[in-house]
Amino acid sequence: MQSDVPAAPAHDHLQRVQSLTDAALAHMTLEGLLGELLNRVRDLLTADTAAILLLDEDRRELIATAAKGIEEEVEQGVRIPVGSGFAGTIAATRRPVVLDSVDHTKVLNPLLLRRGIRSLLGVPLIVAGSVIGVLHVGTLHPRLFTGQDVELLQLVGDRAALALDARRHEQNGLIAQTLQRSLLPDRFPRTDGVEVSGLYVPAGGGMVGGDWYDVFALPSGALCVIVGDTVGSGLTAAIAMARLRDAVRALLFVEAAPSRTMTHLNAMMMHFDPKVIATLFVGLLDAEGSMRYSSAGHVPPIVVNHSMEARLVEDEPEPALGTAPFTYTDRHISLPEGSSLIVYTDGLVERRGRRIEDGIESLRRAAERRWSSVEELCARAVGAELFPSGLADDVAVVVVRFTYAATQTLQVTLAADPREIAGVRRKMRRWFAEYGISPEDVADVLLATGEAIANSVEHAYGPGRGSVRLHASLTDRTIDVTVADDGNWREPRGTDRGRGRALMRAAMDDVEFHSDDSGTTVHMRKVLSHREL
Amino acid sequence: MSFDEELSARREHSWVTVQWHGDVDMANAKPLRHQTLEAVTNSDLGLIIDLTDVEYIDSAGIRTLIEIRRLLEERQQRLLMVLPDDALIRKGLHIGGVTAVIPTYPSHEAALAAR
Repeated sequence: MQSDVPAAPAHDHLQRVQSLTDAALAHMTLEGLLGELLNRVRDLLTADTAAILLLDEDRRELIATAAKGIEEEVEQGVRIPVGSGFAGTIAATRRPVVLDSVDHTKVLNPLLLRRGIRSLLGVPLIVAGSVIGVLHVGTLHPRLFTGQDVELLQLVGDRAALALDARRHEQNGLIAQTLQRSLLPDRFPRTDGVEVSGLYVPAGGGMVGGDWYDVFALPSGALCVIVGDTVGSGLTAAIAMARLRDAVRALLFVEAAPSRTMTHLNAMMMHFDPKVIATLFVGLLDAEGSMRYSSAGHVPPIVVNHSMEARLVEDEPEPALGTAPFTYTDRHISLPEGSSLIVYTDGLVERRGRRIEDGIESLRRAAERRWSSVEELCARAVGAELFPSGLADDVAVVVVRFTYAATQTLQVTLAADPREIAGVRRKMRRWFAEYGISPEDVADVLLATGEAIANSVEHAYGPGRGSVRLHASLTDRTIDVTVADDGNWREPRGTDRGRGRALMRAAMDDVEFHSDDSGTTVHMRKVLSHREL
Repeated sequence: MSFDEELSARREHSWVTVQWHGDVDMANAKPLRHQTLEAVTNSDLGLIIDLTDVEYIDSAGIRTLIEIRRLLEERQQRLLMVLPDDALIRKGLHIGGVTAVIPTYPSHEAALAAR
């Protein structure tokens, strides 16, 4: 559109403000965005310096984050207490401040004085009613900032605050997600007779919170099962969770008693992180299926026995961590053979407009029907339409299953010769027949084992032909197969071996290859679909 | 299936049917391929491999099936497969990509009808 009239000053200003938050800035890093913003502000107000200080809420201090014309402010990491000096007053009063003449009685920051700044104008950066920082401009000659200058800078400040907050939010979200993922165990200890599975699901929209789980073995052989929930969400909660997770690990390593660990942890949190509140379950499982545990305000775990009857493990509740000094007590759960323990966070059972007890009851009932994975259990408890994308809160779950300690095993050693393989399959078929494994499971395990042996036979084939060792062990619900040879590992050659690996992975739940100078070993595990006992 | 056995072949409407049985693995896949291809003459329109009685087939067997299909294709002859719906070896053949490239029928009659 053509315009015959000169742009009104207000309109002109608005356009120039718009230029501060336009699309060209959208792809910039936070640092780049701040720098560009300050350059434009300096031009707009014909000022000599411009700076942004962001609020560190915990310390109630403003930190110089970006500056133009006075870069030392950032380089030296200037910090200004909220309530003191020029910027501190703006943050405390949430109002613009104009200093027509700068002197040490009004300005704390020695850099501003040394730089020879004569006049200053600053405005608060406010998002949703909270101060997130201060934006100020300065001139090297005395200047009387007008009411219009103040309005203009505030207008810029408002837009900048929104853009900054959104960007910070996004960055924090990414950091929080990365942090969260890096702290969850990527594998579980292999312990005879115990099966562990874990699941972490962020809230809908990918928002992570402070939930986590951890499972590890102590030098004594005891298996530690930990599920925790730090209050809050985003980066702050993820960092609090990271600190807590490491503290739990360290204390358990030294104390090896859940209640004492919990008591120390509570005292530590009240001392170092008085603002953090968390619920926590810490359990120690021994080889006989006996678990000692301590719970700090955590939702009650559920035990499912061999007949698929599920009950809540409820004791006199003890307080959440970080609420009051407290001496926690050890409790005890017995996990008979074939039973499972489900430890979870409240995100799995809480839903707006529903009592948490009802959520726990629906999880308990879901656990009484046969489920083959922790994902399946959760989807059933929450409702497939809400799981996982419709969760209001993040969720961490660990399932520990105490299988039959008495496992049946099969061991076969064969020469690395293709003609030997059929005989091994015959042995396995007879072995399976004794234990009532379903024909589908037998077919899967035979196929995966056959491929693993074929792989080994190919390695070891040739002069000085070696041998291949097969070890299979069966519990009430799983079968573990190990195939080992003395051959040097070689990468899969041709389509046969690539296809062989795909078949092994499709047939089993878990396939791991391990290779070193002494040979190649393949570990495979399958959760059996059904077994007649 | 051991590789010294003879494969039986029968012929209907210029289609030859070969019945595999037992286990197919790296030990017998090659001779099996040889015997199967020998059963097909130049005047045949195509081959039906009946896997109804196969209890086990691994990646070597899967490769053999795919090779047979390719060789027949070069000779402008077709390959069909008989595999009952509830066959336990179906999963492996599916993962191995066989059912995607070789038309598969639940019975010999169905294969003949669709040839």
